[in-house]
Amino acid sequence: MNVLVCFKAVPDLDSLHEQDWRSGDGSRPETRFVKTIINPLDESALELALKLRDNNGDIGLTAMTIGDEKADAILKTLLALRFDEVKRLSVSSAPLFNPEAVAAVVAEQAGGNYDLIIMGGQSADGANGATPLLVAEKLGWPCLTEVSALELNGGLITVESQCDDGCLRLEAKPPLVLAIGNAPSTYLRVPTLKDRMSLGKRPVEILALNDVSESGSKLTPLTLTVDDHSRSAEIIDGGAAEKAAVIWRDHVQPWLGKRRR
Amino acid sequence: MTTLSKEAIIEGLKKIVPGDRIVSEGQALKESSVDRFRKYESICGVWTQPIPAAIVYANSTEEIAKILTFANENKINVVPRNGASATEGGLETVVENSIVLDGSNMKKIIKIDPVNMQATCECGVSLQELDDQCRAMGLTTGHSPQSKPLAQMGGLVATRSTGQFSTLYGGIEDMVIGLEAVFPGGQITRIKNIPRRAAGPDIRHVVIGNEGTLCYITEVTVKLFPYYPDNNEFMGYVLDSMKLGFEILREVMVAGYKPSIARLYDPEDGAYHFSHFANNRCVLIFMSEGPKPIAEATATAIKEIVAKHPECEAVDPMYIQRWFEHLNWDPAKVAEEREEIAQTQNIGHTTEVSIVWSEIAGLYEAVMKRVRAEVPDLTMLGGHSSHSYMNGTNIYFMYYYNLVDIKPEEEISKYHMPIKSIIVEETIKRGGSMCHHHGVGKHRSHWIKEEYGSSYYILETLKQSFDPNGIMNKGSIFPVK
Repeated sequence: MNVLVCFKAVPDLDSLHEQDWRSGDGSRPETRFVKTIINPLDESALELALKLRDNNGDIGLTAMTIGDEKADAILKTLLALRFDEVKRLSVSSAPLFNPEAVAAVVAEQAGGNYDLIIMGGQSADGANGATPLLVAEKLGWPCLTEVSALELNGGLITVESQCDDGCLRLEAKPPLVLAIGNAPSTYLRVPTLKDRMSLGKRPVEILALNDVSESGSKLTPLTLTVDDHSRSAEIIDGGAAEKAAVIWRDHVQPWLGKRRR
Repeated sequence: MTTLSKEAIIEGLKKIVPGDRIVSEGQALKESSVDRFRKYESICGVWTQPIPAAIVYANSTEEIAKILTFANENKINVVPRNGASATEGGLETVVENSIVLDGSNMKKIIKIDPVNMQATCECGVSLQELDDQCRAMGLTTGHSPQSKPLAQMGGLVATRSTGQFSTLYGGIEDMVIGLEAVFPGGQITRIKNIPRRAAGPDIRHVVIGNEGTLCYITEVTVKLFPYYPDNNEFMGYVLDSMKLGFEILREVMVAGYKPSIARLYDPEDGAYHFSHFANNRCVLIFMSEGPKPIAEATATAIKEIVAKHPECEAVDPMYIQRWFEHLNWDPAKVAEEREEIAQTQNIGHTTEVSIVWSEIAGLYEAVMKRVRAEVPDLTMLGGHSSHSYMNGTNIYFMYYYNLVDIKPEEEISKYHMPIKSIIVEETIKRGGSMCHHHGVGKHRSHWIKEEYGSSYYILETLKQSFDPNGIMNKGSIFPVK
């Protein structure tokens, strides 16, 4: 079985100083001064993949990311942890707010080569929560979300998936996309210095995204707008009937009117 | 040691303090048998040390005097404790039926005196609390160990702690003006607050750093300094050679400049903190502070000194400033570390030593070479110099390892002590000190005679004189015979 684990290198937003949440140009937080970490849900994905191999032996593991050289230290760590192949699709900065294009790239790269794609349910910075679902849609594969544990039983994958009422235990046949949720005990293991010196020195495959993907050119959004989610509050005095009348007159009727127009 | 049963000890304690301030059963008792040195055992719930008979929370100096008198008369081992942030086994209860004497209820800030620039507080005052109150008045203690959110004043003095700004303000031994301490016979002693005196030996140093082996510190008066955070200036550089880094640190110090921070990280340790800009190179950091003309002059001079070494590449000072703002360990960080250790079976410890300038580079190289060659399953081995002086500096070795095929109680013997032994042996061999600022605790006491040489006579005589029954924190500083 061949498994592709997709991860994103993200700024450690927990360490971001209060003043750096607003940068000079106001477009995004100033993240230059914090360390780069593996997106936490992707870290769980990587560790779950390693555990899957620990328990089942013959599984090929590939790790892939789209981003700049900030991800390379992580890729070297993954080599030292015995990932068979690691690759970075190189762009000038990690993609943000464009899950559609990211999913298209992942689907292109994965097509036909893998039985299982594992990735975090969402990234810490973009937090769209859409990429794994879009990858599955483009490949025509099922996608299981909020996955917290997985194991291989014969040709089937058994996953635990967190839902509002508890935990679902599901069995599915690859190919599959698994979106990892809050999974317990999935800090990424640490390679020894010896493995870093030997295995970690293997080359990281760095490919210019535009050279390997038709979708790469669409990664950078053309425009970004913020949805208007503004709210207001009003305290209405009086009995229940009076309050209902005010709500009907001042709020519901005008809203209905707008909708009819 | 004592022939009293646990029950008899508790009965005796109840005659001194109310029962609700005596803990004699439960998880807290087990946790009080160790400190962070045995963090892996405690994470696994494995308790290898004798469980103490009781934890007693004292509310006053007089209560402490009575408890010590009771313990001394009955030869009961007493482990003094305040913030419980110790890392070297100083809080381990190595004999049966010990009393853990906790002063954390004694948390009164008695006086912050901006005229005489001194602050007096009880032993259980948290340094964070004291310094926050001082800063609100435009003052600071100048003391900033990484344990600042956890540590309490009595413990900081007892362990001879130092802080991140020590290059300017000194260690705690330079800050303590006067104090109150209780000796095993119940003698309450006060050393008065004066600028200086030449009236015999400086007896503060009998108390500072005694690690609870001679007396219990109940009150401390420390110096205050004006607080000028707006004048802070940060400088950061990356370079390829630790040897060059040590040379630059020395140049700055011997030229007479006093940055509050002067640090040098090797690539491994640097990667741990500075992966976003270090790119596997060494990192050299300075911070100047104080009155504006002094802070500016210090920063200018340091930049000129470093500029003579083109191998050093300056980085945006904001990298250093932001790093510094996240350096301290609070309870949440400790809890997070424990969770990470439990999940990854990967654990880290430190050993900090000091040595003169001419030996530092050789010591660093020798330790790195030997530990790499002799210790299995290492995942990180690095070090940094964080406190520099006119005649030398410290080196703070950091090491992480994967725990492979061991029982929890074997972590120390398979990994931690072999590494610590190499560091201590290589340091003492070169004439350095095996303990820069964590104290001796119970796991470097094996080398205390080598550390002191012929001056061990003075140290040993202090113990024999002040604690003839050997009831004070058995095993710390002085090995169990």
